[in-house]
Formats: sequence, C-alpha cells, structure tokens
Amino acid sequence: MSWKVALLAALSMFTALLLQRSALPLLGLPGAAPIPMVVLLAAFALVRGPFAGCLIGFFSGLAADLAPPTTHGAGREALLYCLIGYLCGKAAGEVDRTTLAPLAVVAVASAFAVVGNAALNVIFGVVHPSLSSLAHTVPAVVLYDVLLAPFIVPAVAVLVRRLDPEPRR
Amino acid sequence: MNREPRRQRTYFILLLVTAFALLTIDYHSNGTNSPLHPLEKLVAGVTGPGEKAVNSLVKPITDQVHFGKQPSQVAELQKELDAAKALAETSQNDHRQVEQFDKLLGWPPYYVMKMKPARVVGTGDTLSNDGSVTIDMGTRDGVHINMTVVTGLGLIGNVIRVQATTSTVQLLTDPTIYVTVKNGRTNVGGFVSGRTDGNLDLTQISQTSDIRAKDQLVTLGSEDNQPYVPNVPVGEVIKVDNTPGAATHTAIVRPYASFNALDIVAVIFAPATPFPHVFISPITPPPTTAPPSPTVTPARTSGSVSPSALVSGTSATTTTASRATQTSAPTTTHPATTTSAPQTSAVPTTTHATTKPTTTKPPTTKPPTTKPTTKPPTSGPPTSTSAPHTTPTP
Repeated sequence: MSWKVALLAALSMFTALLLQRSALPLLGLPGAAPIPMVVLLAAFALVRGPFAGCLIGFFSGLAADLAPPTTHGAGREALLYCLIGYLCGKAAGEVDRTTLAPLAVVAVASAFAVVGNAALNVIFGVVHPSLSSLAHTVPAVVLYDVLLAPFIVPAVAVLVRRLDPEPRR
Repeated sequence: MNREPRRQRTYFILLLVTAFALLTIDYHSNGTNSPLHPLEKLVAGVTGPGEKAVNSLVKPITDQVHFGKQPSQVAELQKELDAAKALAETSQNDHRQVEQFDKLLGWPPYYVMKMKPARVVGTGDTLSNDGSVTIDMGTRDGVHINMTVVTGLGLIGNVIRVQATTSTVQLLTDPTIYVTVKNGRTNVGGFVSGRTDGNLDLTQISQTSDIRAKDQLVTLGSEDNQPYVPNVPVGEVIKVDNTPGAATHTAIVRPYASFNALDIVAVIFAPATPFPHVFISPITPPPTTAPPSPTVTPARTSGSVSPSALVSGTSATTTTASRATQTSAPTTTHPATTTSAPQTSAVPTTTHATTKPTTTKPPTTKPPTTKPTTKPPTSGPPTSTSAPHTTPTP
C-alpha cells in the first residue's frame, strides 16, 4: 500500500466519520443512518486486498472509537472494522469481477458491522441492544449502504488505481 | 509469493490482538484514567472541530430535509428550537450582564447561576451510540467536566469530557448514569437512570411516600453543584410500578427535554458554593433584599447599566434603552428555566420566547403555573431588590 493510497484512505475515512457523526443523524432517515465508513472500507479492501483492508479498518476504527462523542473504550470498532476490512479483502479474491459482486460484499459487510457491533456491545458494553431494534437497523443500514456503494466503490477503485497503478503483491 | 500472504495474515492477527488488548485495557480502566487518554485527546482535538465544521456546513441543508419525520413533528421541533434559540440568545447576553450586576449588587453567589448556550455538533452514529453528544464549547469557553447541561425544557446531562473548543455531554438517557432527583409534590428524593426506550427509571428509596403519575421531578443537586445543580426540571412520572412489598418505589419518567433532535443546549456555569434548597420550599427567607441596598450608589455611579434594568426595562430606558430591554428578558428567563419547579419547565420556554420582546415584569410571566410556594422565590428576590433602585435611576 503506497503512502498515496494510505493518505487517500485516511482522508476519505475521516470525512466519512465526520459525516456519520454530525451530518447523517440530522437527516432522520427511518430505521438507522447509513454507515459510509463501512462502504469505503469495503471499497478499499476490494481494490487492495485483505492486508490493506485490515490496516485501514483498524486505524479508522480506532479513530471512530476515540472521536467524540463516543465514550465507550477504544478497540471495539477497531476490532470490528479490522475484521470487516480483512474479510472484504479476502472476498475480493473470491468473487468474480461482476457489477453485483461489490454490492453484495457491501451488503454483507454492513449487516456484519451492525450485528458484530451489537455482539461486541453485549460482551463489552453496558447498553444491550435488543433483537427487535436490530431487526429494524440491519435492513435499513444494508439498504442505505448498498445505495451508496455504486457511487463510492467505483470512485475508490478509479482513484486508487490512478494514484498507485502497480499494486505490490 | 507464498510468504507474502502469510506475513500479511500475521499482521492481521496482530492487529486483531491489539484491538482486543485495547478493548480490555479500556474496559477495565474506565474513561479518563485510561492509558489511551492522550491518544483520545489527540483524536478528539481533530474530530471535534471537524464535526463543528461539518455541522455548520450541512445544518442549513438538513434543517430543510427531514426524512421520515411527520410534518407536525417537524413543526413541533422547530417550535422547540425557536424557543431554545431565544433562550440561548438571551442567556448569552445574560451571562455577561449578570456578571456585571453580580459585582455591582453584591448578590449572593448562588444567583450567579447562569447559562452559556452551545450547539450540538455531533451525535453517535449507527454503530457507536453511547448516549452522548458533542457540543461546540470547550475549555476555551470555560467549560469543564461535570457541568450541568440543559435545554430550554429541562436537564439533558452533564459534561464528561472537554477539549479546547468542543466537549462531550453524557445524556440523561444513558443507562450508566444516575441522577439524584426530588419529587416536586412530596419532596422525597430518589434517582433516575436511562431506559433503552428513551424514558427514565425512577427509584425512590422511601417507603413512606408514594409516587403518582404526573409527579414532577427536579434535580436534587450534587455536592459543589457538580455534576448537577439543584432544582433543574428533569421529567414527569408517566407510569407507576407499585409492586407490593418491594423495597423501593419505582416508576417510569418521561424526560422534559426532547433528546431526538438536540440542537441548542446550555451549559450551566454554577458557583461551587452550595445552592440553597430554598427555591422549592414554601418558606423562603429573602436574604437578597438586605445586601443590595447598600450598593445602590455604586451601581448608579457605574452608569452603564442600572440595576433597574434587571427587572423593569421600561424604567431604565433613559440611559441604555437597547441594553436594558435586552437584559430584562434574560434575568427573567434564566432563573426560571434553571431553578424553577418542574411545573414551569415545559411552559416557560414558550413563554420566554413570546414575552422576551415585550419585557414585562418577570412575576407576570410566572403565575400561569399555579404554584405560589415555589415560583416567587426564583424571580421574587431580584424583583424586590431592584425595585427600590428604579426610582433613583437618572
């Protein structure tokens, strides 16, 4: 992963984090707000593979853990995003290069993010999310993220390939 | 070729283990004494202003675009917002003005309870919703940990973390925080904690006193007024759970403040001296009438703003007309919203907004809520203190 790609990842993930914290909740979307960080992470992992995925995931997750107004301890989202980044990168090697494959990856990643976060909450958190709230959140998040994906995934792919055309394998 | 993926997998596992280690470290060392605190300050120092910037950018758009909210709800929220904005404007004014008045009149310190308005610029997202929000005031504005934060309607929480220009407010609805409260009807203490449905659980230890629906709760107040100043409206009992033989009385409380569209809030800059719990009790010795009278002359010599402006803006119009009319409103609003009994909590915000331009005498805004015992003390003393001064004002 070249420093250019790393910088692009850092900047875009940071922007996504800010949007998640201070813009998207204001829209009052039914169900839940989308998670652009997951879409971006999946997009980077799909282009650059599991290693870049888990690296970007870990550090952006750590930032999400520490950024205000979160008060839970560090590590929870770092763990979650690290896993998602790695698995999405793995999936990139498995799935065929079709139009729908990235959408499916984003959908699964979003669902995994919400469910995995709920699981981590049960283990480490104080507020235990109810299953009924998950039933509302998961479809909403998957829907919104899949709607975002056609804009984000190709853009990331194009930008990354332009910045660093030769991926070091 | 084969070694590379294996090395990468090692890194991946290393990262996972690190994340898990962080999780356990922070899980055990709660909050500020965590070894990650410096890193957290760093991240917060960057993201806090970032949230502020993004919020100010998108706010004009999101104010117009509301998905999935009923138009009536939007109108209702807008009304609340307007009321809060009015309060915020006046209270900002108030903060400066009352400070001057405080020096001039030598009022008892507990009257210095004042608010500074702030905006909510960041909330939790779908994954990390910890029942806390970011506000756009930090140490530079004098905010410190354990300050009470309210809206025009009532208590919303307290400051738990501060950065230079932003701070984090833990909301009342968080299940991990407990707020000691007092029943307005029976004066019996108890505590509330958040429920997952957005309401609060009230637990009242006393067996001798009952809880009824529509009982109104105010904060009992903390030691040194941190994190909670007393007599801030908290909520209203909506459902009583009277289990026979239970050791405690419990009930469900609906908070006065609306938590789903927080925008303008106010931080209370309270003095460290204990608040007298006289505001809500029937017997209210007026200690404020005596001290101000000797300081009448200094007040007038300063010239800029006469104490009469505090209450009756009309009489002070000779010297500083515009300021007087402004200042008269804040002084009526801020004690009412912060210290009044719960009865006034929902009503005053709207009344403040409407009565602000007219600047009538403060007591006239109160009586609609009929509780003679509690209301006059909050606004009474200022009235009585400054009433003598109105006449000598040039």
